[in-house]
Amino acid sequence: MEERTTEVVFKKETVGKLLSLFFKDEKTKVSGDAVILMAEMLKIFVEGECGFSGHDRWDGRPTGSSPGCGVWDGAACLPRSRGANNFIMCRCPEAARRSQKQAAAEDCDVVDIEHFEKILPQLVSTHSTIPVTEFHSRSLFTFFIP
Amino acid sequence: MDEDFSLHQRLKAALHFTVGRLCEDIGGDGGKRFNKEVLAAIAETTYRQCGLFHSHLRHAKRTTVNSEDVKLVARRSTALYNHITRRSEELASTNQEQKERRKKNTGKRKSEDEETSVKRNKM
Repeated sequence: MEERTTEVVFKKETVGKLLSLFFKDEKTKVSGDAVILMAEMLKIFVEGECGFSGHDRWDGRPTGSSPGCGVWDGAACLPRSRGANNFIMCRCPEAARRSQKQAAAEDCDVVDIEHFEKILPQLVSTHSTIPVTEFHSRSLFTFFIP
Repeated sequence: MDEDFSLHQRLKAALHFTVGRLCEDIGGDGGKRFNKEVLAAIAETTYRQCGLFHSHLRHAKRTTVNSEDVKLVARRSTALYNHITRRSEELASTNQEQKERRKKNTGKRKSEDEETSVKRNKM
C-alpha cells in the first residue's frame, strides 16, 4: 500500500464554504486564520488525539494508561458546564477511535455501524442537541452509500 | 433553493471524503477497516458539529469572525484551548514573517525602479 506522506486535513476552502453557508443569512464573514483553526477543530473532532503531544486529555489531566488507549476516556471528558452544546463537542472527538476500540474488543476486523451505535450513548446525552435515536435510523446514512 | 441544496450536498460529500481518509489512517494504525455506514455516521456528526460551532460563533456580534472567537469556542476544554492557542500563535507568526518578506521585496523593487529612472535621466 502506498504510504501517505502528506497529513490529511480538512481543506480550508471546504471549511470556509461550509461556515459561509451557515452564516449566509447573517452576512457574517470568517477570517482566513479562523477558517484554518476551525479545520483543525474538525480534524480533532474526527480523529481524536491528533495534534496532542504525549497523553493530554481534553480536561488537561494526564492519562496513566498504555499507548493506544485513546486520549480521551469517557469519564474524563465531562465538560465544566453540562450545557447541551458542550457535551456533544467534548465527547464526539472520540467517535472514530472509540468505535475502533469497540470493534477490537469484539475481535472484529471491520468497524461496523453497531460499534458506533454502542459507543454513541456515551457520547450523546439526553441534553444533547442531537438525539441518539436519530443515529439509529439507517435512512440517515443512505445518502453516502451507493 | 435547489442550488442551496446541491451546495449542501457537495460540501457534505467533501467532508465525507476527508473523514474517509482520516478514518483510513486511524484504521491503518489499529489494523481495522471502517464500514461505509460508520464513515457516513461520523461525517454526518462532523457536519452537525459545524452547525454547533456556527451557533457558538454567532454570539460574536461582529461582521467578521476571527481566531479569538474560535479560541473562545475551544475554551471549554483546557487541552483543546491550549492546542488551538498554540496553532493560532503559529499562524500569527507565519503571517508576520510573510508581511515582512513582502515589505522587503517592495522596498527592493522601489530602489531598483529608482536606480533605473536615475540612469535614464543621466542619459
